[in-house]
Amino acid sequence: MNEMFEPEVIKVSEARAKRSAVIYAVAGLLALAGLADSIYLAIEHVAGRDVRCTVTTGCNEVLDSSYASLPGDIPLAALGAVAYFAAFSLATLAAFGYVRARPLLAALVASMFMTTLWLLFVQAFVIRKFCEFCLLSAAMTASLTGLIVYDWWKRASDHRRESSSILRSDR
Amino acid sequence: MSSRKPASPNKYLPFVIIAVVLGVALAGAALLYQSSTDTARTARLDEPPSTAAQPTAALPPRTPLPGAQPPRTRGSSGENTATLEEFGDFQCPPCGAMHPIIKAIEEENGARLRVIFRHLPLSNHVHAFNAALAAEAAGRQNRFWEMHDALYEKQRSWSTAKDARPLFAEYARTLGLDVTRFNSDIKAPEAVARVRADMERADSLGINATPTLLINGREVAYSTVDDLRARIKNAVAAGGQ
Repeated sequence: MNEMFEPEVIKVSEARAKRSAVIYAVAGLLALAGLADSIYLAIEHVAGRDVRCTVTTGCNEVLDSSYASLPGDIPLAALGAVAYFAAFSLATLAAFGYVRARPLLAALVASMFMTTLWLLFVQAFVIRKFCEFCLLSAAMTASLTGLIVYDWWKRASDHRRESSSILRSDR
Repeated sequence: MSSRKPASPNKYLPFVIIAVVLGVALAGAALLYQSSTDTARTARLDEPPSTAAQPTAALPPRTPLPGAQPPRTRGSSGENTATLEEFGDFQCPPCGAMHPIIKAIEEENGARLRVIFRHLPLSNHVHAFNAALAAEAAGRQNRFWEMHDALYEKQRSWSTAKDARPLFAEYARTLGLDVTRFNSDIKAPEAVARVRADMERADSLGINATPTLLINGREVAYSTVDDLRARIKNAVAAGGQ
């Protein structure tokens, strides 16, 4: 690469690092919200209390259904809490520049998104009731997915732009 | 994690943040669990509510109602027998989880423990009231406890059914009941009255969660299954006092 361009390259790469840090910090905050939601649902399940819906009407039908528990009566929300905590940890690491956390976070969020789609299908077509806390979690996972996709798309387009400018400067 | 140098000047900061969040999450979960169990299992129930707990102190204290008579009882009725009274909802998963525990405790204590089941079908469990009626209908053919056990053991099957009544009739058939009579008794005003009487007793005691357990008329504030087992054992050893 031509040395004349170096200060500009540094400026651009700093801006990109800052953008990535912001994206992953927001992802971390979303994961925290999902973590709080999942912990609440898991604890209410374990304590045997009913979760009251204020917006939708199907909290108990959804949360008492067999789809809300794993074998051994482990609440599915507990698995969600573990997933959100892992997502928070990876997003924090990515925000601080640990680049290898990014593909791990992407893989985790992809699996969370697939699970969310399945659970939305179950609520809509099997139980035919919706639980607002589950919808909140779905919104968090969908937003996380959106952020990760946006970050990957931005980095891919940066990479394309970079490659074409290198080609131009080498001419 | 990475061979590339992190952008942050403090490479330990993200790990500190993660550890702090983990600590806060665990502490929050423990506090939430504590408050959940405290709300569900508190105070002695055979005494009038305290003025601190009841801002409407001007109202006279409520007298506990007796519930359906005779109650659905399993076990000995001797004088030196401890009584375990369960307020349960057949569709509530924790009640289903409690069912084998209570059965094991019954077996451990034998004739020294009497178990009473009280219906408390919660309104947000769509099939719970019909399940209570199914148990009462089976009770009219002297099979209450067999249906009680079947309902808890098959809870996952009928809880998610659109209409659980055909499944209840199927369980009645499996138990060898006269299904025609069962289907008639399930709609009988007597069955409804018994369930309502138990619900009124729960209301008079301020019980609104299931499962709620009373030993000799006092609510059990247990923390674990072993704790519950020990408290029942103590009550049995005291001879029902």
